[in-house]
Amino acid sequence: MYLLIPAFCLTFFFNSCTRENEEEIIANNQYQTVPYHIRVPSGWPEPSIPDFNQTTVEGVRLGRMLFYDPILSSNGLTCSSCHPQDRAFAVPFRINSRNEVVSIPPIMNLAFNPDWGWKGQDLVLDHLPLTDFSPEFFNTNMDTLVSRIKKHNLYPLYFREAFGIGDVANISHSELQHKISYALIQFVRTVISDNSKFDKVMRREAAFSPEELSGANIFFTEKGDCFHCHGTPLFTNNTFNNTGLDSILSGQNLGRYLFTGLNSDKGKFSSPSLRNIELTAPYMHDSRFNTLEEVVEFYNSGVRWNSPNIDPVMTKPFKEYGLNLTPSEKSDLISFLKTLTDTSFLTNPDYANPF
Amino acid sequence: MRLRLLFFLLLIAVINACKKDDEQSVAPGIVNTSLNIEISYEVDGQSLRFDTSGYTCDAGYNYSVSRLWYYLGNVCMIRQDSSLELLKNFHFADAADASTSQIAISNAKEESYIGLQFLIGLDSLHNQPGYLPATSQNLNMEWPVMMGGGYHFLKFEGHFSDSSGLHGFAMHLGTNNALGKCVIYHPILIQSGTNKLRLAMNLNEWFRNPFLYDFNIDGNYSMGNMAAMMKLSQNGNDVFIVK
Repeated sequence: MYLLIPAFCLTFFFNSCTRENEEEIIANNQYQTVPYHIRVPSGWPEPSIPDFNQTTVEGVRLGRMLFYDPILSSNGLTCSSCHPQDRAFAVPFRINSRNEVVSIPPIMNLAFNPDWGWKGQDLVLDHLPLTDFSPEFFNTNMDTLVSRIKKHNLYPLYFREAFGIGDVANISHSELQHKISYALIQFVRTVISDNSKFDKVMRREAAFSPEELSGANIFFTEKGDCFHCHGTPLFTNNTFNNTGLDSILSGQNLGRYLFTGLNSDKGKFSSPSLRNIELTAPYMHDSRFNTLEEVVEFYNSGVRWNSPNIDPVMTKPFKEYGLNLTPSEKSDLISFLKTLTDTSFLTNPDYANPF
Repeated sequence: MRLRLLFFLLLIAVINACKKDDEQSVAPGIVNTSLNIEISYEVDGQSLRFDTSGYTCDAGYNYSVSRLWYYLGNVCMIRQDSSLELLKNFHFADAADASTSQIAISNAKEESYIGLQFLIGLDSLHNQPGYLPATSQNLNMEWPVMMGGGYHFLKFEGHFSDSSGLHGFAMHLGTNNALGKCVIYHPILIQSGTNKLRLAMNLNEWFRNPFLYDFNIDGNYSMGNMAAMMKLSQNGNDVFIVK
């Protein structure tokens, strides 16, 4: 009889110890994912990935398919319509609902950036694609989307393997949108551009031409002072700055102020990465400049130094009235900027249309 | 009887195995001694508020502050015999980010010190291209290789006004020659448990002593201007006080 007590205790103990494990095993039997390790180029920061959307092989595979698939839209658009790979996943511009010209920043190296968007309004990258379901973009009919996914020969399997969703009809439209958004961003985080001529020079696999070297000297010294906002290796400092585009600010030119409401943010925009800048014309948040020559000329002679909240580094002695670069120096600076073009990135099969 | 004993022993063994982790986390009789250095910012007694004009430097200009990033290097306590005890090799601080305004030192030593000292910047070992971990903060402090390499020690930026209008200023420090050192003699007793030390940076001291710094004479942009950086570096030696 006394034997029963310890035996019961032992049984109870083992049962309580293993219950959580059993639940985990049951859950994992529904979908077991393989972690996708995002490559971190030497000297780059660690990627910033939230716990709720860890990158997996299955999620990246699903996200890449969805990125190129018009299944998400009712108008034939895909993510790649505005983010084509051969343009460094950027689109020249689009007209927004307020009839303003908006430049779409490229999709690259976003795993290493804390936020996205000209105004820094997209605090959680993983939620960014949620806006794409709106009438302004995909104009998605969610019932139609569910039906299309269910009928597809691969998506039911891919949703199950990536997120454990047995039937997309059994989850809410909101949850489905979130899962699609997460998959898209898992793919986006794998998109890395780090093989430009500049990178090869840094790895001692190539050498700058005399013009490119002269341009690098302008870029990385006080002469051009580009490096403070566009430092290596990402060629952005991920901060918000007013570079003096306008003296009087209104509409979208109010910049980050439209998001934060702070007067001190008027005229400030996120410093974009200059990687692949040769491919992403026109330039600035409102696509006002068509060529790199126009951009360089703006910094050389067009900065509105009386713009509200202009960044202090734009108002250096003797530079309040421009950089005073010679035509040859301006040309050299552009030559250097073109060394940031990564042609292998534009054709990388891992990022290409899988269909 | 043997079977009963076996079960009993097994039960005890299992229970002990389950408890071990918990017991290890609470080691009896040992109390950690830690030091938390808290940094605050002020301008002659006024708390620092970013992008708010109303501060006046000794040269007479009203100014506001938009950015204050810097490193403290070789943070040391000064023992009674004047020898140094290193607490931290380097610490990055962004005055706008409260999470960087604390330097947490675990396993501090219980001792009576006569003060502390630290660099404003990085020593020559750390001030080399790519030496620090590639965090966004460190990458944003890089000093271009083409200008000598290493890191900015300080980025202190804002706007000032004079009779001709509003202008920017960017007090940037870098290069080994412009490395400043703060030595603060102040009795500090570290006792068992959690200790706090409050430091305050008075921003006006950057423009005050031993050199009056005038944006319009010395320059409103210091990077690449060694004379301006040397003045700032020496002025920086007493920007901190123990509160």
